[in-house]
Amino acid sequence: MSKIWFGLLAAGVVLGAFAALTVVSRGLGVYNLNDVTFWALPMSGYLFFALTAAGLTLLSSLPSIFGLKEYYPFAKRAALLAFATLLVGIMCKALDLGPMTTLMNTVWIGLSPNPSSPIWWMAVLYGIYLTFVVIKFYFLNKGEWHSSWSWTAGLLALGLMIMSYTALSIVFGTADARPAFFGHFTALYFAVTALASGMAAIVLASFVQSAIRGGMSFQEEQAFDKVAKLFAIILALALFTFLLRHIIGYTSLQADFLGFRHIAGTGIYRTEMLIGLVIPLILMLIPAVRKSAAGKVAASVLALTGMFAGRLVMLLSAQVKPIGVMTENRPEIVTYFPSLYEWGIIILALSLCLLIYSLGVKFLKLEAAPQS
Amino acid sequence: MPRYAMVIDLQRCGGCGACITGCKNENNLPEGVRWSNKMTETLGTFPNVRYYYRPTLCNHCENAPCVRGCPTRALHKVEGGITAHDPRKCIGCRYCMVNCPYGVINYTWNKPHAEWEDDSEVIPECTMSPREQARLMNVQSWPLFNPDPDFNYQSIRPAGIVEKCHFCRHRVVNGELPYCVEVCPCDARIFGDLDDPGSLVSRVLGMFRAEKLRPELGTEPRVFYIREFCPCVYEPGKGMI
Amino acid sequence: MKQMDIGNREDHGGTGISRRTFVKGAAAVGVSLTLGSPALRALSTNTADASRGILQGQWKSTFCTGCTTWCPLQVYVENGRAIKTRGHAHSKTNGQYCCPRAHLALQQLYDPDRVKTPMKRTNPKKGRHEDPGFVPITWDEAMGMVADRIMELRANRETHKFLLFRGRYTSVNSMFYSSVPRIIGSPNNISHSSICAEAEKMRYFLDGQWAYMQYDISRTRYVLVWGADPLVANRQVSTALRNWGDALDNARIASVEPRLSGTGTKCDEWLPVKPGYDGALACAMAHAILAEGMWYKPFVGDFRDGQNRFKPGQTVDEDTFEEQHTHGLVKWWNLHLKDTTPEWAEKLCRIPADQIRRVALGFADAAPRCMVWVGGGPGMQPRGSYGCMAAYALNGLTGGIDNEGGVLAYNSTVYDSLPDHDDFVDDLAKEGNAYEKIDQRGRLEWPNLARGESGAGVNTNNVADAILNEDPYLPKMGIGYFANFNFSCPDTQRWFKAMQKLEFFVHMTTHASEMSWFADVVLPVKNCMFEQWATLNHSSNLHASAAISSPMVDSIWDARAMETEVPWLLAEKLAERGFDNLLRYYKTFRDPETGREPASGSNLDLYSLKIRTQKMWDPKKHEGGDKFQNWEEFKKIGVWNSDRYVYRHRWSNMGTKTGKFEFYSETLKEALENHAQRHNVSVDKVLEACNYEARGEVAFIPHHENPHEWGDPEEYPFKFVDYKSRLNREGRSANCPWYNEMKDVDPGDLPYDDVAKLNPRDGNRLGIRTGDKIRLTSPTGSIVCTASLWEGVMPGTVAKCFGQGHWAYGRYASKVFGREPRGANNNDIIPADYDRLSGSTAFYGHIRLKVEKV
Repeated sequence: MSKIWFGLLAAGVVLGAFAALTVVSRGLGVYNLNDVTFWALPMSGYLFFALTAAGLTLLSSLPSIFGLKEYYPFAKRAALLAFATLLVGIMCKALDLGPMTTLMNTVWIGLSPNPSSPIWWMAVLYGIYLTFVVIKFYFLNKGEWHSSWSWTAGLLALGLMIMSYTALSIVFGTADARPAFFGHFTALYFAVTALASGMAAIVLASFVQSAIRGGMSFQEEQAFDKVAKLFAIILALALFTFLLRHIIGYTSLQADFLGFRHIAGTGIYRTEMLIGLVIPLILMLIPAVRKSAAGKVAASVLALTGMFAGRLVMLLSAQVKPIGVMTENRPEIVTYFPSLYEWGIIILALSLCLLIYSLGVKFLKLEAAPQS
Repeated sequence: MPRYAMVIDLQRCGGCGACITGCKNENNLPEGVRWSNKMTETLGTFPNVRYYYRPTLCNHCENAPCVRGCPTRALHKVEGGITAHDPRKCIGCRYCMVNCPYGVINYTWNKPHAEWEDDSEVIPECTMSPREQARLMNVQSWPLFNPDPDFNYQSIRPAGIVEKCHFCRHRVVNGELPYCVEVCPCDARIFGDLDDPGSLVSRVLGMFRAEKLRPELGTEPRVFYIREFCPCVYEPGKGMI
Repeated sequence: MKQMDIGNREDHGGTGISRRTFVKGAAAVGVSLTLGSPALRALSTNTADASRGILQGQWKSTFCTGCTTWCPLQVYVENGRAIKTRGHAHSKTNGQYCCPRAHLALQQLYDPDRVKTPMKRTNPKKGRHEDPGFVPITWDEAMGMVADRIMELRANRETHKFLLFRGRYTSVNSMFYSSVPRIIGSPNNISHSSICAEAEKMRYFLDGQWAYMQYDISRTRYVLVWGADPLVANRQVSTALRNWGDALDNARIASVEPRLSGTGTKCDEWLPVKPGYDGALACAMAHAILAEGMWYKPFVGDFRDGQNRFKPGQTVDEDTFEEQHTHGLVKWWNLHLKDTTPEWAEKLCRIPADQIRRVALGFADAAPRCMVWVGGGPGMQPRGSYGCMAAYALNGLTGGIDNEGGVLAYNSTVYDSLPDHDDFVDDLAKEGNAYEKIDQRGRLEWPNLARGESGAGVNTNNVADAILNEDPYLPKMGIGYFANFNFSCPDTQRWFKAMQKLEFFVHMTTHASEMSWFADVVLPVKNCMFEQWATLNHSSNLHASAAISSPMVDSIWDARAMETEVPWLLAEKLAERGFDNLLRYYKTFRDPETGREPASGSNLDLYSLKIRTQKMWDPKKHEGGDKFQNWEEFKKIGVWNSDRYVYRHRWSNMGTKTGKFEFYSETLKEALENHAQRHNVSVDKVLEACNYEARGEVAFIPHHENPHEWGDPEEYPFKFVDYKSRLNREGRSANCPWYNEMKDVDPGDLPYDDVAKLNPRDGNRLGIRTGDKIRLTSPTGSIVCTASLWEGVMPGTVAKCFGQGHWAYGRYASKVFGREPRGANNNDIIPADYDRLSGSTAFYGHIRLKVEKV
């Protein structure tokens, strides 16, 4: 079982690495991107993993920072997953910049900073955030649950998560030229969906581990039921925000929202709504299902799939209707379908993330919690 | 320090596209990329139909959202308020393309002028391959390679970064007009200093109620449009119920 | 801005500082602030190569061969490489202004698919789908092959079976185009002229100009653009673009054209005339002008008592009217105009009568500062001569001829003549030269009345039929240069068969093309704009100019100059074979400065140019216009300008039979009578043989003739509107990457595509949407292209640019070189028909189509 699993992951990594190396050597021409739709699947990989990391960081901080001790069983696992998702998220963004020559230019983020640029803040804060996530996990792994170093690292990781997530929201929030990014409403939307995807990730990860290890402790089981309830609440909030966005998108008089309305008619939008929100919420509202392991797993898999589609929905809404001079010689709405290389990057990110986690499961005692 | 601006007189504009080609020529633009471009629309129904043409380029906004958003200051303001781009600092994030409401920034997806690395000959041994021709002509990129933009930009910007109109800064700082202005056979483009009340741009802007693109966004474009592409006439009347 | 700046662009009032001076001053401040000190410069990351400076090259003189306007140009050359073009700074015609197609010349020069070496065919079978199997050969071998064939013709006393096809050319062309066939002994030098614009020149029968005209746009008050597209294609596009913005202030502009043309988009009003009914519209306008008494009296004259007797339907006594500078106005009225009311025309041309009247009277109100800018549209139709004359006659009614703001003749260019070849035409050659020309010109059904002379005009497109029918005979060898007739002539299928039938064909060309596909030998020639000595003249803006080109770039192809170096090589080869007349003739082309005899083709190239332009650069032979000290100075400047146009010098000195502007054309009457006499028939018989409707005296006046259409309206419900793209360099730019990339500068067109445009109403009816593939079928053939629904097209018509559909013109022009075209060639569906009075091939008005979704 374990061999097949690791074999699959290795295959994914190799396949993805081929795509990544091609991109690094030849540039983004291998993507189906263009000057109208230029932030698409690789960028949605970034959003998906980075926002999931935000949710996971919050979850792993619940016991130590917020004193909700019943969540201790997830803390370490969430911390490792936060690291893994954040790492592959940033990797997705890097593979969405350009070939090696372009990647070298990123030193100018440090050498030529632009504090008025949200994307500069985002890059810097995510960099620091990643560092503190690593430090935090380092202490947890050492078993230092209550040292002031550990606590400080945890607090900083949480703080930076909030800051970097805010920067990410502002990247879209200040894009006045593209109202279909929904401006600062995106901050709210990102917040609830980040939590939802973080929770889904931890539920799924924990059950996968318990399945491998064979059952979980009573304490753990109790905690999971609580998480499932919380998950349901978050899903409900996310669905509310989703509906709010829908209403804004359909009532706005700005022509730019035509792009959103077009996307709202497509399968990825329905995937986000039904598979990502409605069905998992229904599953989690039925007590019998909520209490069953299979129910929780199903809900979280569906939610994660939907959330991923949601990231693409969010990006494409503002990028399928050409703006300015890009309208010339183009239809009112352009179509986009990702190339194999774009899928390759997502496969790489997913495989790498799962590989890190699986290695963690195997070697790092992720279920560890403080003794008292 | 001057404040450069361009006024485009749509009535003079012939819609011929010489500016587009001229810009590609001067700045070695790769296939498919236009810094100088156009927006057209056809209104009405036959026989009462009209076609409108508006030349476009980077607006060199005073409050340039691309400059504000650029993480590494690759996009930055230089002499005369020109919005310049430093290809060495550009990390290819394309946030400028998100922020630019005018759609005038392009990302270079593939190697520019790669068609000149093709080895095929349409008549073997009797015609050259593009690669052979470029080699015999001793050009690195394409036969019309113009080295001038190297002066303060980069003659050919590599793949993986964005590029945009720089008001032909290499020419302007050397006392030459932007090339689209130079090649316009209609004198439809006027370039000059807004701070000089005697400049033609200032004088013309004093005569006409100039139009700026998407003024509601507060970008304060430095490209102004005056008059109508097509000044039609019609018989006066009050209409009817 | 109304009424400001008439013809005086430079002086805008206010400060006298020019734009350039200002920019330099302002920029100097900027430079000193940012780049002034080395320390500052080092800090700037943007100075990759700041030390080099810009514009290190030089602007060299040339001219444009992109259309027959031949604007003087300059080419920016750096290290032997051409980089940019602009209008010629020293010209008084277009100045530094050039239209967009001038830039494409650079990509023609550096086309990746230029022929780099002479080559010969290895596949003896010729055909559209036969790969010629070209292999490289030396110039020596190639010219030897050509010379052998000519010697064979001479040995067999059938030199008349030699053909020389000429497409575009330079101003020394006669030394090749005329002299080579004559010295060999063939009457057959066949130019492209009749597929160009011969019908447009039928104005000759009104005002004596068998020529293109210039248009005084900057002083005009009304422009009636008629079947012309001056902001897009031919004539004087550069000057038109330059002056149009002002003209829109100063003048009313109306476009008469079945489609909304590029110029039509910049007009006050559009008169979408139904294809083929230009004559009706023009006659209705003339009727309205006369009926309202609005003709321009100082030019035309008036009724003796000042009372207007032009009443609709009523004839007028000729004696009551006294004409000034015109002839036959009352006859015109009595024979035709009295009945051509706007209401009559509305039924034919579909322009509302009130619009016809309004435009006509507005036009006449602006007289004499008004012009009808007649293009190929009304004339290049079967029976088109009379439509062209009708539209042009409005210039006569309003005095907008040879007048401020009107239509002007070209200023003359003082080209000197080249040495005469008569002494080198031997008896054998004289015998050959006496044969009938291959194109059958001058036969009863081919009057081709160039300059009023029966059979003087060429009949380009008829050559295919002549070859196929072996009538008058089957030619054995042909040379074609700068031409691609089996692409550019209507009904291409005939040409494929005709070219197949030619035993030996030599194509002189820069690129392989559809004509090369049928060649036995292909000779790579230089691009005359950049790689050799040459000259062409131009006229606009009240001046003429003649610009020269020179070998200014490093050429990497083994090419020769087409009209000088190649014939020199031929002359040498012929001399080696014992026939040295041509070589001896060329040796008379002595350098006017040194008197030296040419010793090589490149000598001949230079000397012929110096001879041709001697009156421009040699102060001793100066005859007007710019004066230069010597050849060196002229060479440096590169352009000669004529003196300024003198208005009204042609009034009553028109070069017509009466010297007047002839509404009743005595000149045409004489020409037709001469032609009829030549064939011992009546004029009516000539008209019948030539498929005109007119009989009797109507034949001598501008009038409406019903269009002669091909195809049954039931089966072929649409009419085809062919026109020229603003990026067409005649037909030679299709392999320029910019041509395809920039195709959307033609209103309604799309980049990288060849679209046929339909009105959305027709599209909806047929279920066709933009982007769909459609098949256009005429009685002659069918093509497949992309549909584009566009409101600028008249319902019931299909409009499509000529220029694409090449299958052997290079990698960009063809989808698969030698096999599959990119887009479609209009000439595949245009039936071969003619306006026989002018000899012009018809491109408009007669083509019926059906449209199907593929």
